[in-house]
Amino acid sequence: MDELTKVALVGTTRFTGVVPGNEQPAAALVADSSPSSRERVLLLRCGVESIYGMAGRRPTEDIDPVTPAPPETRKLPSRRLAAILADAAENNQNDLVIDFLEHMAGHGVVVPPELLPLLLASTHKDVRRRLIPVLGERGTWLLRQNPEWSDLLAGSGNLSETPSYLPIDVLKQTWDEGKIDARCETIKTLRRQDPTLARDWITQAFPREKAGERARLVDCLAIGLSDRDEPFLDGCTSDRSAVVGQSAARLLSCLPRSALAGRMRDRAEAMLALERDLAGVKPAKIVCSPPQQVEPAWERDGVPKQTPTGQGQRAFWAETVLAAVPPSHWQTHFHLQPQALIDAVIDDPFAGSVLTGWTQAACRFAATDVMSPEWLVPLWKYWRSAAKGREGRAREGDLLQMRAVLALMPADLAEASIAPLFEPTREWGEVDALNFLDVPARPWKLSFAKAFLDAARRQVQTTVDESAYRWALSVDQLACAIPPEAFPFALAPWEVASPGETANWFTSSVRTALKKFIAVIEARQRFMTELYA
Amino acid sequence: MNLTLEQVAAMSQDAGAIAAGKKLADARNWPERGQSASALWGKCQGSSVYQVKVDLLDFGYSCNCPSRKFPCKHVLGLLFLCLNSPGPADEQATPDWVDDWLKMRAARKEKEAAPKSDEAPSPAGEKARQQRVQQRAKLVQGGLERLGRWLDDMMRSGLADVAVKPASFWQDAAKRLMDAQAPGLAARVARLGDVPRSSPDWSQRVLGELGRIALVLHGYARLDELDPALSSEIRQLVGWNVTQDALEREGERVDDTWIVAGQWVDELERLRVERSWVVGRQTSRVGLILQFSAGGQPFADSIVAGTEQKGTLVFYPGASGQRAKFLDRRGMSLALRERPPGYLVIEQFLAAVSQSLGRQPWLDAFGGVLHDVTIVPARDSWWARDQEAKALPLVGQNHWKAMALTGGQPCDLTGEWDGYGLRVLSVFTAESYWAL
Repeated sequence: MDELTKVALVGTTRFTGVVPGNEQPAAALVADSSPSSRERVLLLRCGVESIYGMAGRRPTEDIDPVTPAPPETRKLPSRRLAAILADAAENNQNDLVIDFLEHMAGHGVVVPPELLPLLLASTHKDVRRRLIPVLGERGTWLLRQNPEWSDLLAGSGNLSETPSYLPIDVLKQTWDEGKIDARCETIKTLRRQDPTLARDWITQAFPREKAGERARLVDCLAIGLSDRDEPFLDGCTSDRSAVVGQSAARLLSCLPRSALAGRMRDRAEAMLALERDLAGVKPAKIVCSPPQQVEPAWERDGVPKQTPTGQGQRAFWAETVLAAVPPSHWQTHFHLQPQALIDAVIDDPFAGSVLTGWTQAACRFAATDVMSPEWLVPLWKYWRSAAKGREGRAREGDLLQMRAVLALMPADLAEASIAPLFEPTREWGEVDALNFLDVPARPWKLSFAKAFLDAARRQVQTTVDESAYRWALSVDQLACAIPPEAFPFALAPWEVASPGETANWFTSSVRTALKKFIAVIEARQRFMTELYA
Repeated sequence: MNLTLEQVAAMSQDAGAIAAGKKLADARNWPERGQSASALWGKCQGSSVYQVKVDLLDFGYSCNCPSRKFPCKHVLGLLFLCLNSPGPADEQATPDWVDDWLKMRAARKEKEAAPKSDEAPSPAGEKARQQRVQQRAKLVQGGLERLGRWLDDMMRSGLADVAVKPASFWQDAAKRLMDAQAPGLAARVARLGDVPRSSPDWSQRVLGELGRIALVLHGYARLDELDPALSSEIRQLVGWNVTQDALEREGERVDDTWIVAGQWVDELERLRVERSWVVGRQTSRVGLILQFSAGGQPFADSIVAGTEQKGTLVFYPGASGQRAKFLDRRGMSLALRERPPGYLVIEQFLAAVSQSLGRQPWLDAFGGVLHDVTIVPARDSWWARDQEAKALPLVGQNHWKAMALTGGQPCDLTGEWDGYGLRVLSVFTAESYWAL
């Protein structure tokens, strides 16, 4: 700090010396014209000093250059296409952005540079995920400049079917320095490239991690899971945190040759017994008899002694053990098809627990067990009829199971399973179908979209109540699920029932929702036209 | 019309109006629209039918809707629509309601451009005017004396106290200067309020600016001893306006194709100041066009960043030759396609800054185009780095966007330097202009 500034900070009352002078020739000009007071002399000298400083300012010389981005290898969108994407992004229309990014990826078009920072700043997980294939050279380069965006880079190897190999040092840096999300993405990426190295990294870091993070890292091993992971996972089952143990046990149950999987099969077989009527008159029955008590070894295998509140211990144990055994095991064990197995257990007092266990198992083994898909329709039917007769929380539980099964179904089957619910029957209310519409993959098939739009039109045309409102809201929320072929049906005029003269909250809300829906469809239409132009 | 969507959006400061404009950019809302070489028009079906007109020569516009936003959503909607779907290509005859408006504008421009009537003002009027000037001079004098005492007091008690002064400390001083009809100094004092504790070297910055203000006072007391260009400049710094008459009589006129290279709007308390840096295509002369707007009123002229147009600029009398105003604009305003003239290296720009300061030491903003600089993040800050590996620190926002647009390649950057940081206003890269 220079002398003048020091004097000025202290103040002339407390500073008794002579006000320091400037050495610049211009200072003489000021000095000669004899200002009135010490204060003014100080000020004028500071003024001269500051002008000198500004006029003599030198540029900074030790700023390192950046390596420029490589030239773009893929197509850039037209300015008009970019403007439509920018509109959606600026208005936080995430569904629309996702739809646009997917179409761009399909067309080999990348995000234009000017929109990269806006989109990279998005906190929406699905938007970020879908950005990866459309980043282009510029985007990938930009990511590396900003540490806050690096998790996206780390995750980029985790998405494509044919993994793009990222340099190990890039991954290692994120692994060493990143936040837990970025580190998990790194591990998932590395598991696709080199599963052993990824496990080694986790093994080394494990003792230093907190419980929650240990559990998340163990979960990452689901990618590229193999028998070679068994020793490490086995060790994790005795982790001091129960959550980590349960994660490890879940993965071990997915390895059919693991000791844990064998133990679980034995426990499950001991619980279920088939009673056949030898005369063949009565249908076969499966009796479920969970143990009254469990050994401590069960707990180590991921079956907690302590049950969640509101559930009986035995029911919970049955559920947990059955969830760890591939459903197809029962087909070979009892020589019965899934539907027959379900029919056989349906009257048992523990039927609900058995079916919940089987549903969870169908989810857990969907990817690895070839016979699991055979279970989907029978399970869906079971939960659908269970839901019919129940109310309140029990029914909500059934609906959740239905959603879980639905999520495993291929698109065609999922749509075919939901469509019948569009027709209101005595068992199914007018709005029940709306619970499932976010599950089928987007965009929907034309026939399903038409069935949905028809049902929605019928609803808003005939009723003025909450059900019409909920349908209209769904129409708006699902605008991005409508396939382009169905745009003409979506855009055809909508008739909204209105009760006489007076304005009605429902009617106006329905109209607002529909307007928003039309705007989204039109934006998508413009985008497609521009993309294919 | 060859503007970009971003340029049209930049004409409005109101995100709501832009969003509403985009919604209106749909041919269904426009039962009638057309375009000629000089104008764009349309009728928009709103709660009634609104007549929207845009003069393509200078992007002047008009709409008969009751909105108090300028431009209103209808004007923006028509421009957006025109960009999205150019509509009938061939020119159409302008309807009467458009023609009348264009004629009215032309007449008004002519009247403004016409030399003021030569006849001398009546002796009584002249006397009254002089009395008013004297009264104001007295007020200003008093105001500056108070300002001097305020500055001296601050030096007596020490600048360390200033760090904890509330914002009103500066605002009150600025208000007193406004009351003394010295708005130029008032603005300088008001701006000081933002500096304390804003950066590690704030005390030097505040002190430097206080010193420069003291130098203005020092100079104002000796106006007669100074060269006329400098004394005119000091009077403007204090806040004496240059009358339209004096501007046209004394201002330097420069004919060129003027590029609006960079623009930003400074939001003050009740006032918005649009700062447009223009560069002459042939002369490379740099000018600063200021427009003021209070209470949400529109700026008088549409000056669109990233366009260029032939015209005559008149520079305000004074030593700096910086502030300027359009006398007339001719021909179409075109989107910038070729790189604007600029400084080849940062040293050259800083040398120009020194020269300007040599002529007018109170300048605190220097605009210009820096050729072939790269935008570099380093040391928790941003930099513009030239081909000689010299760099200036950047201020403002949207640096990531500039980084994304340029991809680490050299670009032409328009910025405003205040002696401490370079505010990035636009980049020109790969033959396109991007306002930031």
